[in-house]
Amino acid sequence: MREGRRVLLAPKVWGLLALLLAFNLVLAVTQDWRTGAYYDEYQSALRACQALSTEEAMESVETELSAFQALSLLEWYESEEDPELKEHLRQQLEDSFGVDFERRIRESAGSEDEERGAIRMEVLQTLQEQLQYIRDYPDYLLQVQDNAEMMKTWEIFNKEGGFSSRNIEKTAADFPTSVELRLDNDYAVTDLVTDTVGSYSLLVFTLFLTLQFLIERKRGLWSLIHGAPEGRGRLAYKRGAILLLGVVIGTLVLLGGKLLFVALRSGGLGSLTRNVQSTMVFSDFPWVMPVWVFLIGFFLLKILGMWLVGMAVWAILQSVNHLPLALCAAGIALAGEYALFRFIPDSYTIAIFRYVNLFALVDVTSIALHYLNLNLFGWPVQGFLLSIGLIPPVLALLFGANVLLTAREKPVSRQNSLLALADRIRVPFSRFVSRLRLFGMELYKILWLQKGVLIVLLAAAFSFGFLEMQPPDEELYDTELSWISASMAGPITEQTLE
Amino acid sequence: MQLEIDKLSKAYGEKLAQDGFTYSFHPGVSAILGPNGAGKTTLMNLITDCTKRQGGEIRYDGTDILKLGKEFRQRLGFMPQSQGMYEQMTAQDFLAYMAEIKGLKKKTAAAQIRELLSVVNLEKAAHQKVGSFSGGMRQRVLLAQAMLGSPEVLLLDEPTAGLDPEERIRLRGYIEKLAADRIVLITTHITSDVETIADEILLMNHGKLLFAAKRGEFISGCGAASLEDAYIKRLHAL
Repeated sequence: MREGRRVLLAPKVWGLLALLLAFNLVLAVTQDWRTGAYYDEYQSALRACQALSTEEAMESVETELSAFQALSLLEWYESEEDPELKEHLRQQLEDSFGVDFERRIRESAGSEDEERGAIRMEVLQTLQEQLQYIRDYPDYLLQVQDNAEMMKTWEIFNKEGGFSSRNIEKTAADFPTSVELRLDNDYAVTDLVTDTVGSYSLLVFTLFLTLQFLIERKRGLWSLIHGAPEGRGRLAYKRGAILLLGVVIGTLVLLGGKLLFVALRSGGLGSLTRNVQSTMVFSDFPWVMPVWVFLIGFFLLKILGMWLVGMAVWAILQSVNHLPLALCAAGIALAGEYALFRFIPDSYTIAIFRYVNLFALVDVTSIALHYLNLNLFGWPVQGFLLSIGLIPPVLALLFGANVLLTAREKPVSRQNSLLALADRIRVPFSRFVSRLRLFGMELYKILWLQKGVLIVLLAAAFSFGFLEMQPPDEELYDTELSWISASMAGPITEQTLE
Repeated sequence: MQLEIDKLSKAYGEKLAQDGFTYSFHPGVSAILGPNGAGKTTLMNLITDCTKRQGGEIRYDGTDILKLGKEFRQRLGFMPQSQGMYEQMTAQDFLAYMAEIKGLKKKTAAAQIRELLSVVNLEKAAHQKVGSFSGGMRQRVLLAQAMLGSPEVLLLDEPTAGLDPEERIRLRGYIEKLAADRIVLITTHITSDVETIADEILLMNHGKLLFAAKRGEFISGCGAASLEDAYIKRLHAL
């Protein structure tokens, strides 16, 4: 299929894919403060904890963590020059560990070097968090049921046939009462579902693929292709299939590639048969399923969702004859969708526009991992299910629309009324431009005519977004926190209050 | 084989691009002359259904081409005025692409491509990217793609536009070679391009057909010495 080869084998398409993948992998490395040594230590500690029950593992981790905290206190005691404070610290240490506290603390903390010790402490804190979550999750599920029962007794919520009472019942019914959880390596799966850069990279790739269908307009080929026997409906079917194939490739390379990379870096995906709720990020995910089932569903959803987004943008681009105007229309539509997705709070009545939204499919896990029932004519409908439930009919509609548009839109049409308006606006603008001197003219050429302003806006958006994304220096934070915790340990006295 | 245009009308805003154009084309080369903006390209766009007509009919062998749809487009070869191609494709790849868009089977397409590249003298350049081609070479590729599928109706819109005299003569030769037993419509405002190859001449201006006659009658009928002379005389007389 020549059209498939033209689009999918184009060097610029693969170039973009490679660039996006490289960008995502570089970000994965630079944003992750954890080193190879960390992940090795984590794997070793994880295996030790997996051999124990949750309570036993928890106890072991907490004991070792206390030893590290005690070591921090001991080091402080040894380096402290103020005799009064030193005496206070000595008393604290003796009370907790006995007269022989120096030997005991050093023995329990091990004789690792400082760097290794810091890594070990980080690992233990992560495991502690995971184990606490696994230990407390059953209580969380019970609380969901208890909350439902409690709210049913409140008059404001228990009106028969009302949304509130139905919502309470549905929430209690949707969440399981118990789930088997297993401690395992969650890094790769967590990264997959929380990574937005990958999702938006896939969006960029999908939009780029869609634009390849419009090159015929830019190159003056449209009349030639439209006048050919198979240059209309049949070509549109092929293009729909090409877009799907392109999205499959993009998803596997960008998201699958990153998943593989993070998994290799962090020591694997963990057991694929463990329930997804074993991972903290899935605490609000009501469907109990093994990780492998979730991964298949995730990739399928991503593919179908992005295919729909591509088809929607293609339909907008096709429906406007003038290419620059079509790009503007598509840009405005996407900006509008993004604004609705980003800024409508879930508590608003119009929250449905957050879920019936193209960006709900771009960033599908953000809505999947956040349980929310929308009020649809008094009936609670889960937002995530609404979003994905609409995929098949909307896809079918868009496919039909695109076939129709390819067949019906003519290369030569009467002037668009928007273009006529643009022509009128251009008159005073041209007068202004004609008064520019050389420097102004060059700026005008670079920023406006050659669309440099888009690069500037993109760079600005990236800079602001990147600033937001900068993670705190966790290593420093945790070290300081340990130090402060150790120093505050013990009975409350006038001195500690000071 | 007959292509009938019956009271064709098309307007772009207030400007009438086709104003009741009526004519019947038969096998042979018909040259449509007229100044810039006369409506020649609009006529081509209407025949290829690249723009919507507002009135009138275009019939092929008695049936409206819109009713025939794909069936008519299978019998049509079109060389547009713009030299648009996928720049990264080689000449061979582009022809293969167009052959697929025209619904030709692979074996048939391969054989036709080989033959047409030979006819337009692009065999040696078949594996070069069209982006590197000169204007004349691009026109030859476009002519070759128009001939794919052995169309019964061949539309050539300003086929020699932007070519140097040598290339124009060469292209005229190719058109003459390929024009046998088909309806060929050539639009141009360069009279020398069609002086020797056209069987009949049509004169258009402001969307109207002003005059149509066999080549000999077109020239001698107004006492002109050449086609260019006849064109100017008739255009200003009407």
